[in-house]
Amino acid sequence: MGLLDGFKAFFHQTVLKMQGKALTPEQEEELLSKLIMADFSLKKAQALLEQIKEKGNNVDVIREVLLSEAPPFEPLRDTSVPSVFFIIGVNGVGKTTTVAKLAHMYAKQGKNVVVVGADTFRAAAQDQLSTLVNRMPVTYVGGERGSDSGSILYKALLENPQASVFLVDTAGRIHTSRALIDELSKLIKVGKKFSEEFPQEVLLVLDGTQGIQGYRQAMSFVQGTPITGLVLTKMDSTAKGGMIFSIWDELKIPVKLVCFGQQLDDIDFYSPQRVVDAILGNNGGGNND
Amino acid sequence: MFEGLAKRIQNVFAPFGSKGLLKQEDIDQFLKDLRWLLIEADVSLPVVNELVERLREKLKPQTGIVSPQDYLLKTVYEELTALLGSYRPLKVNPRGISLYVLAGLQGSGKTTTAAKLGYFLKRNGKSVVLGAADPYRPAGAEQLRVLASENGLYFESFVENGKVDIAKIQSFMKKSLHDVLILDTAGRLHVETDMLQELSMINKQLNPQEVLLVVDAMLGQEAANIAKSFKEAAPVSGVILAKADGDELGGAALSVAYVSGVPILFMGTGEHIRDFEPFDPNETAAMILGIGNPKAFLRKI
Ligand SMILES: Nc1nc2c(ncn2[C@@H]2O[C@H](COP(=O)(O)OP(=O)(O)OP(=O)(O)O)[C@@H](O)[C@H]2O)c(=O)[nH]1
Ligand SMILES: Nc1nc2c(ncn2[C@@H]2O[C@H](COP(=O)(O)OP(=O)(O)OP(=O)(O)O)[C@@H](O)[C@H]2O)c(=O)[nH]1
Ligand SMILES: [Mg+2]
Ligand SMILES: [Mg+2]
Repeated sequence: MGLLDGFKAFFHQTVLKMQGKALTPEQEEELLSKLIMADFSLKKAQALLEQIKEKGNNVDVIREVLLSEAPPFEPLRDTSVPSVFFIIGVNGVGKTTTVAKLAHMYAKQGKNVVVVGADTFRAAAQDQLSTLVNRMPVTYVGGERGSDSGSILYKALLENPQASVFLVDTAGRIHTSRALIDELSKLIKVGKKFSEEFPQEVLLVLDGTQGIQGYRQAMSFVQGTPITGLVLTKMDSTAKGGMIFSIWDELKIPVKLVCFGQQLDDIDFYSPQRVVDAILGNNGGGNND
Repeated sequence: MFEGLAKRIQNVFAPFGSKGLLKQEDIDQFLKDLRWLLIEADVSLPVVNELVERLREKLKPQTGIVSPQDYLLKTVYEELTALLGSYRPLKVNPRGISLYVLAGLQGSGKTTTAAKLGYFLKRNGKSVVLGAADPYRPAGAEQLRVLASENGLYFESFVENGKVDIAKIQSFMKKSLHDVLILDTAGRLHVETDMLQELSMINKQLNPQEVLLVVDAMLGQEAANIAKSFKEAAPVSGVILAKADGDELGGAALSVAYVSGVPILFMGTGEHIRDFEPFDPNETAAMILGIGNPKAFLRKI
């Protein structure tokens, strides 16, 4: 078998072959492999395999087991007015694009949206975000490169009492850098000065192509940052997102949104069914092979 | 980078320190441990399996050897250095400006790497131009322009009417007295066939000295797929690992090197312009395996 064969067919061929019968060691190995390639942690993949063996292996059982273990759907906490959302994560995962997509979504709903450019670190981060939102009926508040991101947020909150939702784009920071993650909690405290309820959401963006790395990022960001949900991006790749199972197991952080492209509409609410279907190889919705 | 892998891998060798002979069952156990370890270090599974099979063919039971541990270490070291390739300087165009094309996934670190590589070459006495060839990312050209001006590099945009203007690049290269043009292309996924086609066209028409695949060191299982698709679309000649500061395991690096079959030439270790260094495969392999002085070690065996 070639290096990457069997990637497309994913679960189906394997699982259909073994319908109902006890798994041979080779089939166990194959099932485990598929789960690992779908970005499940080794530990989680082994636990799932045990469950599947116990309950009888056929496609329906596997689907059921995965569904029962998947993070449940939870809606965005956008009912209080105004709501403040922080978008955080490591470098290049799709934070700024996600902010633009959310701005687009809420603007279409007729909400009064304020987009806050709090990445004052990366070159042209401000231009990127303002270009993305400049045709939308939203308010953009940004600042100079190198300026204090806390002041930008403060100004945005102070000057926009009419807003229904504030979407705060933050600079990318690697999860192994404690100092940078701590800096984020300072920014979040600025929100708290206005209301104890702020922020309603702190969304950690995970890049689907980074797979199980996302789990390590969540484990690290959660120390000191009150993460309320995940955004899975770049799911238009061949990534499957299995790491969200481990994150749910250990941190009980739900997935809120799934992104599958660079266009403003390439975003949708998370659905356990769709993620499980994508893992099993029957594609519904935005996740595709 | 690789520190985490080093720590774990050295544990796999540890039990073989004191045994005087190496039986087939020891080899099997060793390979089994190594396999789980590589999987947990994020190496793409197909790559793990092939690596382990290659080692299985090489490793033979031994009697009366000085140290089974050294025997295993040496075999793995040789495999690892073969996999990582060897360091070489970037190819230079003897007749004019050298063209280096950077390609990779969205957000992998291409634009930042263009500036870092340019700055590195400038410090080595080259006159470097950063060329914007990303028509899609909002303010992508602006990002490159800012990085160029901050770091004393020349800048030129080759984006016209929402497209990469190949003719403009060709005529620029004909006239230019600079040494190097680094072309920063748009991010593209390994499943976006149109976009890979575009990359393929750019390379066919420009015939660059190097096509450098910029990969995020934090990639997961996808790393092998990515290396394969890009290699098929363009004559990738080297890899640059970005965001190596975000990963202590280095699994993606092993996957990409293995599947692409080209060497890792540089790695980025932070967001700043100087967070960039040439990559030395031999040194890295020795570091991963905890071999202080590879030459002396190999002589000893
Ligand atoms: N294919 C694909 N590309 C995406 C998706 N989301 C974002 N991108 C692209 O990924 C690249 C990086 O996205 P950004 O939104 O700039 O990422 P970021 O996290 O803000 O990056 P930094 O601010 O530099 O840390 C851009 O080229 C985006 O167009 C997605 O769901 N699918
Ligand atoms: N920590 C760290 N961050 C890096 C490194 N290299 C790049 N980055 C960051 O990664 C993010 C994405 O980098 P870009 O250079 O914009 O990536 P790109 O590949 O050009 O992105 P697109 O053009 O959207 O495809 C930025 O926030 C960079 O600052 C690195 O070596 N370490
Ligand atoms: Mg950003
Ligand atoms: Mg770029």
